[in-house]
Amino acid sequence: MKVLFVDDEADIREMIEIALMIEDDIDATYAASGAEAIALLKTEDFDVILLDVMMVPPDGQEVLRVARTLERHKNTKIIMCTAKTLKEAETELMEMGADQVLHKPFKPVKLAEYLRNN
Amino acid sequence: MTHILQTPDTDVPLAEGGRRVVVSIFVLIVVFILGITQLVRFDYNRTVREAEDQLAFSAELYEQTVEASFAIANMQMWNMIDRLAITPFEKNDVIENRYGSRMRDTLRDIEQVDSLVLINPEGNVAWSSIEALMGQHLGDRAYFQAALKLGRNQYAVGVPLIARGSGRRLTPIAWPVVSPNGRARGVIVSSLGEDYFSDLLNLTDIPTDMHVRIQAADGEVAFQSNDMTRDAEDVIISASRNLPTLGLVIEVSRSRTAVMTGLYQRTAIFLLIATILFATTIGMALRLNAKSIQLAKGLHRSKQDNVRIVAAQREFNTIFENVGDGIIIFTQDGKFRRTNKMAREIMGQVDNAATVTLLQTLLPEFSEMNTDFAAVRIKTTDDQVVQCRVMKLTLYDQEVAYCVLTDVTAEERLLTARDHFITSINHELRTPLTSLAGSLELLEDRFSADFSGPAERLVKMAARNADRLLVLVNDILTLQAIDQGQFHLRAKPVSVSAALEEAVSINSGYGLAAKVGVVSEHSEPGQVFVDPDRLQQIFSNLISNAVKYSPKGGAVKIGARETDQEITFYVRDAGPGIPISGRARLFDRFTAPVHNKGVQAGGTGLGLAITKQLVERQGGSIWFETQSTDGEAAETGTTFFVKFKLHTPPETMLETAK
Repeated sequence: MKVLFVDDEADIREMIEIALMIEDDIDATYAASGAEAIALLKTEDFDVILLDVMMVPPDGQEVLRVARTLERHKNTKIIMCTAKTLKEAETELMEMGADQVLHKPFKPVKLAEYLRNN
Repeated sequence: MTHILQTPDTDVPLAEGGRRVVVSIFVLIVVFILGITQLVRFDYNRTVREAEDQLAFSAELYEQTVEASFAIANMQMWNMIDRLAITPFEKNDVIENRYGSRMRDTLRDIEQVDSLVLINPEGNVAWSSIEALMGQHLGDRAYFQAALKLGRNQYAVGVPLIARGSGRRLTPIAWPVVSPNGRARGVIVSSLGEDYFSDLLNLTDIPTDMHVRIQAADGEVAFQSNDMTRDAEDVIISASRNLPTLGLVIEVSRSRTAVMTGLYQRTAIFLLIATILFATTIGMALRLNAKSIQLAKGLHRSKQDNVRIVAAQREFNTIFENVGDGIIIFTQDGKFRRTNKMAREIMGQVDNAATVTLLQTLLPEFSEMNTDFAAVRIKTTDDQVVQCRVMKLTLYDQEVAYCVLTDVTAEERLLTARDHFITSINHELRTPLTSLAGSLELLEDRFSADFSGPAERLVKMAARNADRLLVLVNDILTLQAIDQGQFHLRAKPVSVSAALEEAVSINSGYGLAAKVGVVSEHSEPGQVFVDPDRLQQIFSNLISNAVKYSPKGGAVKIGARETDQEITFYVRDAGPGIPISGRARLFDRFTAPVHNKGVQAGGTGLGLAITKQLVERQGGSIWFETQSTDGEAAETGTTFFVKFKLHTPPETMLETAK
């Protein structure tokens, strides 16, 4: 499973890297900004994209919008990671083409299981 | 303020006016009485004078009549005497022959003479028309003596006397019979009787109520008219007239009663009319006066009212103009527009019209306004936010829009700042916390084998506290969402028993860790209409609290009871109970710990505040009962109750269910 994890927080990226280190079936790629993610998306295919919403622009929503315009990511599973707990925000993301919304803080120990199940 | 309430004392001048009226009425009455008296006296005097004139006239008339009649009689008598005087009368037969026939003729011819007596110079009656007097000696009589001395064409009047035989009043008249050579041959005597005077009186037409008396100088009465008794008291008016030829006096008098009858009647009628007129006039004057007093009072009162109204208006205007909120009142047609200072300041205008016009562009249509206050937030300029509470009310039978404006720019800025702050916390606090909690979790999960005993304990402590911080941040965010009204509930019918079962299954794990059981002990078949997730959040908060304070090996009992179309859920623990001091502020945010150290369990201090909000936002209520040692309870423990209305499905649903 090829996963792209986008978050501008280096600590979060590192933590996820450690959490997914032992998972052999998950091949994770990390992007440190929205711009980097967009660049990767244009050339790479992924099974799942984990996209942090709140980032220095271009933010998660922008990346999501761009991803859905790309032919290769029309049907890629995109999970939005957000600290916002409001249903309105969630609904908005879903309408923009997100498949799921993962509320922060999530438990890194259970991330692999979550990815496999969804 | 107080001057408006004081009533200037107006009664004193009005009372003085009343006294003045009484005094003037009194004076009027006195003047009236005096005037009437004067008029009556004048009338009386005039009446008396008139009566006196009339009496004098009557007396004169009578006198002239008597005089004339007597003069005629005298002339005839003298004629007869002149013819008789030629013959002396010594012998009776001669007298009868020579005098008798003439004397009888005279008696017949002269009406005034009713009797004739011839007395010779010796004083003996020589001939008489009255048989009884024949041969009598009358020489001692005064009239005889007087007449004997008289010459031709003279006579003497005697003193009136009362005849012995008939009882009639008589006034003797004596004429001397003188021979051509001047010898006295005798005296012829006659008398004027009452009949004579009476007949003359009838001829003169003197009113019958007049009393006529003829008397001699010495008071002997010759004639008296009427049988009217002369009351000395009654007679007040009289007139007298001399009868020079007879030496008598005529006195005509009239009784006061007769004279005054007319006066009395006149006076009575006059008094009656005058009094009626006077009383009517006074009455009208009094009524007019009373009316004018009332008018004056009314005028005064209305003046006072006016003063009061003006003062009240001024006060109202001052208050209205200077009140801290902006107030704008206007009618739909714009005929009535009123604003106060603050309103104009907020709207940035200088006059009523411009302010109202600007506000109308920012408000919903007039027809859409309600009779209840509806709050509208309007932006008057780019950086001013105004809260406008609009209400339609009826004033002067017209619908007016009543708007209260409050500048909420500062408040709005504060709210925005707070939201920004909390959103920042959301991100800035949660991001590192996520790394921290996640890292500790990974460390504990994957690398605990590498730790020594104390290291593992330290990692666990760090993980526990990182979790606690995350819960706190979550709680703060939840409350913020509730406060901002961004909190949405998706209510649906929830089975009471299913909710209780789910609560047990969700919270059993937490209880197990603390060695406290979670048991559902009583349920009801009904449903409640709530957001199921929020209901579980309520249960979790209450159960976790209960677990924290339950003794190890104990159990938290939950359940529900239906009473009167309501479902009351409860969560009961056998913990130490809530100290009396902490009970009142239990649902407050960030309350100071209510328990003593050692008993107090860790928490954010927001759990019950959130729970209360969650319950109340869904139309429920929350309360608790507790027994604590400081309340001297033998068995301690706390029960929280949450009550919701029992959900009754609409009837159509029931129909289809059948």
